Amino acid sequence: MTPELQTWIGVIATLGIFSFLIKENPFYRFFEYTVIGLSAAHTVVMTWDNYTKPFWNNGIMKGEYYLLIPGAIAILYYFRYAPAKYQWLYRYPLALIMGYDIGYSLAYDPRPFMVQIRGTFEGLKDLNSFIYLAIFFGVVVYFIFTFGNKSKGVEKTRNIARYAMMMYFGVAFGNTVQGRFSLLLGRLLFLLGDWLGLVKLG
Amino acid sequence: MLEKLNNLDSRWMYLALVIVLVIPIIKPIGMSISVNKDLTQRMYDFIENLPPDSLIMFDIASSSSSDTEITPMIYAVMEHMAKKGHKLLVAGQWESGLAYWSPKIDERAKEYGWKYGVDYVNIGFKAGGTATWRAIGQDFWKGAVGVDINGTPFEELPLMARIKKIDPETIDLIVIYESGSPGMETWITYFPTVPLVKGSVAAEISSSVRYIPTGQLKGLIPGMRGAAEYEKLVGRPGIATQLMDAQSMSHILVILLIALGNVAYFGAKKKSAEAR
Repeated sequence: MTPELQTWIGVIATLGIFSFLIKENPFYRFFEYTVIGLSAAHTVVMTWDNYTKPFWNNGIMKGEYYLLIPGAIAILYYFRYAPAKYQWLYRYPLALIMGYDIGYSLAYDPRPFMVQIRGTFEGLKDLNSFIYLAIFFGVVVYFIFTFGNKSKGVEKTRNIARYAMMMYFGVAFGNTVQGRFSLLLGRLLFLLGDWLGLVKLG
Repeated sequence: MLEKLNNLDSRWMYLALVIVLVIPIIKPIGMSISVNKDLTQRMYDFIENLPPDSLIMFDIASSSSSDTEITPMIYAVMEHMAKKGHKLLVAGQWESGLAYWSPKIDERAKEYGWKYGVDYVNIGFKAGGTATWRAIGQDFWKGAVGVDINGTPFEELPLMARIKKIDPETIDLIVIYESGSPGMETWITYFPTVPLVKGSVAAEISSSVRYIPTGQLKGLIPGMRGAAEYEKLVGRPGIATQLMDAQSMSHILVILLIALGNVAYFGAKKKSAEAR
């Protein structure tokens, strides 16, 4: 496939997807389904290349036959689609994965959290760090549901926490909008640069 | 008038957005770019202060949909590494992202005259999630099944001789390019002693900055804006710099639209209250 043809396919697909902004139409639908189909096919190929092939080539074929045991357990997953009588078998790999993950998480996950909590109290030297600490306590109080809003102190603290959280959500939303514009800019650069040649790509 | 504004067809806004974006792409205004001292500058300084021949590991934890944000970051950091003479180890927690960016990294490496196996190695995607990374961390060769992305044995790649595990003595810095999970939590949780910096898509910035004051992240490139800052620091303007004017103009438009929307909403509300 020549690069020019690739560009043209990209252009038609991009315009097809963007046409949704005008209104729902068959051109858009066609490319939407194409993306779904491509993604599914891509996932199959990626899974084969990155999971199945290395398991076979780098493991079994190199004499590591013990890998056949977890391989056999993994195959039990497919009993999800077996007749109802045998479906219970799929629970074994699931139970193993869950047990492993929970154990792993309990062993390792608290550490980064603890570092964050320690960091909250460390280096209280400027106004920012005190505001940070105050918001930290405020938000903790906000999420303690065992006491109601009867106390004025609790109510006020929760109000402050609510404002702080709204600000955080605003910042997060603003950043997300920025990210989405970046994606749009990438497509526009493709149309204006690769296709129309109006822009020299940096 | 206010009612008209309240019921404005959103397609007019899309049109305004396209106009506002296209003009500065074709004819850049050249707005100045300031560098964020707490995020981008920190990351730049960390790499700048590493001794030459340091080993930096790239972890691609993103998919190709974040191309516009991640690619300029990768290029800018590679430019910095080339200037400082560092070695590169490429890995990825996301298979599709690694497949997408590997050829781009190869292309840039070729431009710098990096020799594969000597100056940089790409170990490819290793299935198994955090458990695999723990295994790789303890015994790199065994955990990574001893082959690179092309199936070449590590014995044939001289750079791999110095990489036996993941620890601060072996890997001087991990640079993660992330747009979701699994991502930096893998490194912060299981390899907290290895210095970590992050090239983050814009949507992830607010959830990442809290790791900066605690030192869990040594620096951060915040979105395409951060990539433009890094391009400025390394002295090689690229796509991010080229698109910054358009990005700024789009933000101005959004601010104007929010202001207009509020004026229209409260104006109409006041009017209906007066009518009652």
